[in-house]
Amino acid sequence: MTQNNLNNITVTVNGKEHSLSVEPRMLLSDVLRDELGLTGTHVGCEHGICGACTVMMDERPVRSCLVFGVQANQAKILTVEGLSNADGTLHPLQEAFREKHGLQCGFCTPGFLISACHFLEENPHPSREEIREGISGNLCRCTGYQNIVDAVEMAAEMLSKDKISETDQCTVQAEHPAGI
Amino acid sequence: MRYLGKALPRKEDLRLITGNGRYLADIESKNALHMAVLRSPHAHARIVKIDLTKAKQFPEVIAAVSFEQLGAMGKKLPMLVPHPALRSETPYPLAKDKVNYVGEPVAVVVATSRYIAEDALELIDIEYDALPVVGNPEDALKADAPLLHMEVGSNTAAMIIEKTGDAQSAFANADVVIRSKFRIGRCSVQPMESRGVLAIPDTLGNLTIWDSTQSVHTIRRLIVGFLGLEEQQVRLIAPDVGGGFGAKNRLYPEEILVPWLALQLGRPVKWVGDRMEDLMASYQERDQWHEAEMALTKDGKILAVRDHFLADNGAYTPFGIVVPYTTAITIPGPYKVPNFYAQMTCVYTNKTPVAPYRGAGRPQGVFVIERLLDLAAEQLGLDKAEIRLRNLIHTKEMPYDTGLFSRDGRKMIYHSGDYPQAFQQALDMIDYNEFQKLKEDYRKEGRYLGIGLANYIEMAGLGPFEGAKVKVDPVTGKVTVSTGAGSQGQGHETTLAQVCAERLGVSFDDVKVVGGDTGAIEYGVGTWASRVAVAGGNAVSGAALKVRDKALKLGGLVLQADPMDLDIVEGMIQVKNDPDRNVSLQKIAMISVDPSRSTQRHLPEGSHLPDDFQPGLEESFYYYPSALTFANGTHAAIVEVDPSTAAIKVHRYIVVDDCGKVLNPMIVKGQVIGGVAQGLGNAIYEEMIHDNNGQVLTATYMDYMIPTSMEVPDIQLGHMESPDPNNPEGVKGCGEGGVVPVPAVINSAIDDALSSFGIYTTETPVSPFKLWKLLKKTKGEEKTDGN
Repeated sequence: MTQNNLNNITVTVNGKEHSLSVEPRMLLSDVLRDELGLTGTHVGCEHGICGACTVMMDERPVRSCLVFGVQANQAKILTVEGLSNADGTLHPLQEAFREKHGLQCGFCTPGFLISACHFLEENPHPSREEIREGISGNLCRCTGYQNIVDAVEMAAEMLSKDKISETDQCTVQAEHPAGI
Repeated sequence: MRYLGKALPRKEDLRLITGNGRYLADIESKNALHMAVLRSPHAHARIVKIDLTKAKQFPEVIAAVSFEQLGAMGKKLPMLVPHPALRSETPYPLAKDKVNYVGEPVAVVVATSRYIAEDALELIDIEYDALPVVGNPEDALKADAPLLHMEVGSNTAAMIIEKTGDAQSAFANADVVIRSKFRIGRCSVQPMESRGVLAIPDTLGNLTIWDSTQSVHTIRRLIVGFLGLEEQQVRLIAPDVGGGFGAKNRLYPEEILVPWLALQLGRPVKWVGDRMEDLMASYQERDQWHEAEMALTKDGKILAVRDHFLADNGAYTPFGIVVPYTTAITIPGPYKVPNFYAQMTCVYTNKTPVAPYRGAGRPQGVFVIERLLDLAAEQLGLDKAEIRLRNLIHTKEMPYDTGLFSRDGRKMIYHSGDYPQAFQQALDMIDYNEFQKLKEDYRKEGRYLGIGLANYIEMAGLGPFEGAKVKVDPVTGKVTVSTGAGSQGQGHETTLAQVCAERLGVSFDDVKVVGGDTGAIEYGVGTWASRVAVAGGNAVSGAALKVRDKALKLGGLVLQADPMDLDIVEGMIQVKNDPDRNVSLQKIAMISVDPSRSTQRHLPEGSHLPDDFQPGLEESFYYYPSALTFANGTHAAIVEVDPSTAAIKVHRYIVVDDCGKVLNPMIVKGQVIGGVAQGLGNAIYEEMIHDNNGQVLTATYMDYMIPTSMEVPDIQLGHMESPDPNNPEGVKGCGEGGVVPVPAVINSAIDDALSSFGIYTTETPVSPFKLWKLLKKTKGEEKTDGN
């Protein structure tokens, strides 16, 4: 496609504002990965089933392979790169995934972390069955899910003991460096 | 043991949970061109015409290539694992004259972006002449069947017999003979990261190839051989790999096309397959048709098993006959089968080629014997647990020679394990003796519960070898372990570091493991067949002990002590009875490369390095397993079926596994549970379905059902540990056992749940839809006699 059909957009990703020109057909997942260098968001199926590309867009989880970059104009996006604090302290979910062996190959993990983060905001004290349902929009081929459920359960406990659970975990508080 | 056997957290996790992993698609390459592949929409068709003109003229398209433009590259891909009985056919990098399956690569376009390359695919003017489709192996063998490969002369790729004893006599003299047909459906592997390749040329004609593969050295060797290069010209690196499970363990056309195009164009070329490509064109597995029979005494002892089976191999044999062969030798499993006969016919059909997927032929073999045992139990009026106990091999019978041979020609001899004990432990865990009461309680509520059991053997530790290089950095003292076997999520960076830390005597935190890079170690084999703990683990152990020996010799010189009196603890060489007399490994590594030019002299006055000394604390060790390893275990499940909807719900799932010495129990548990989840997919949900024209009807995740967190229950693990007597670390491998017996268990449990309907399932996956059709045949009526 030629370059004469570009749209200017402004997106705030992990607290940092970016202005760029993209083709209308460019997927948000490709904007994040190829234009902004944020390769933590992974493309798994490109038809909205596997959930590997899940990011937060204006405080709602979306499949970034089903959103066009132009639709994200003026939006606030959170990707896995923005999940930990700016000082590098891991988010309780990240801690819990490591502690509970909630990942093997790690490819689906960023999507799970984002989905679970939103889920715990909506339901901070979930039952195990509710966790299973809460993460059922994300496919994992390695772990058999059990350890992921364990991890989300552990993160829920960590968050409930933590003052920061009162703030919105999936909203970026500080600016994160773009790219890796 | 400081580190071995401990559930240490994984070293690889930090980068993966922060989005800093580097998978193939994440590897940046300035100026990279993007390749897109035009794939056959036909299962079988003659290519009449390909016109690339319009595609080539499209702005920002750099190249468009079909078979005709391949020139010297227009030759068939090499195959892995040849066999004298196999009439092998492998594909060309791009189809020549004719296509043989939906998804076969026909042409490629290279452009400045993937978007543009895909646009340009639409502009390729191509005309096909559809041919009759060979849709299944039974049709393929009919006299008037269309031929896939004229050169082969028939659709039979191979017909092989594996046997021991005299099955014919045993059947003639048996009290009871039971027979059944079984159909094992075709599954797609589906790692969450699809395949991909990036090749970066330099000005001298050398290449750096990034490839999402399980076997860097093997794939490099095949690529350089095909392209006419030397091994030294190519460095092949598998970065973080988003799951493999066998799908990324062989040479695909794209792995030839990308480096060839990079050399032709003098620019980096990248291809990342999308999900539809992965579902259509990544090699698949299972897909067998069995006619099996078992001869028994009236008290339920197996006299013989006989099986004739067809393996639907798809259009090519890129991985030989590994899958059906493994099925055949897996059938006897942990049971005493004195007489055995298996005849396998490997058949070409117009489907995606078959090559090993996690379990690699084993789930089919286990399905056959376990379903036969269920049938035999029913016929003899025996309990399904009892018939298994009567036939399991006992520890006192080991080493037990099955009379069969593995595919690398080694005798299948079981050396250790307590199969009846593992089985009993699983029965206890699932409260087998209480189950009938539970079942009856449910029945009173109109609910249908069933129990399923299966035992398995996991043949692992295949050779020929794996290598490791252990190096102590002379500046930092940190240790790097390089190995040919990369990780696709198995956690080698952690387990192999545990082995090195333990055997060398350094801190686990100071060990870094590098795998999957031909630049890191000269030779390697790869990650498949649950072989890394056995072949790789013992290689790391061997290399670490060599470094230790050398460090102790030099340490003895420095400390003026007998090396026998020294020990290495957390990176410090110290005199056993006088730990204050010590020297760090780092210092020893430095002395070995720079004994006198450093700021101070380290060697005592008058002493010098031995004449035959070699620099560096760096040693390689290549471990050749002397025997196969055989892990074993038992699975048991309680399943509920709703006869009105055929919905299947797994209530409980129990695994008792014995994989020998455990390097890291957390990782073993993860492997087992993950395997069971894939097994449940194979058992209930996942099947590649084709229409009569060979069209793929399951080319998206809307149709190809991968189990989610709602379908996979929590799995309870029991554990046993019988060290393998034939390798120093006593390990056996744990990557595949989790997946292997699941279909057998699920079918067994479903039949039990629906026994009052007379349901007997012979297919896997036994999807709710198939079960519903079976129930419809019974008109949903229960037999009044309760049978």
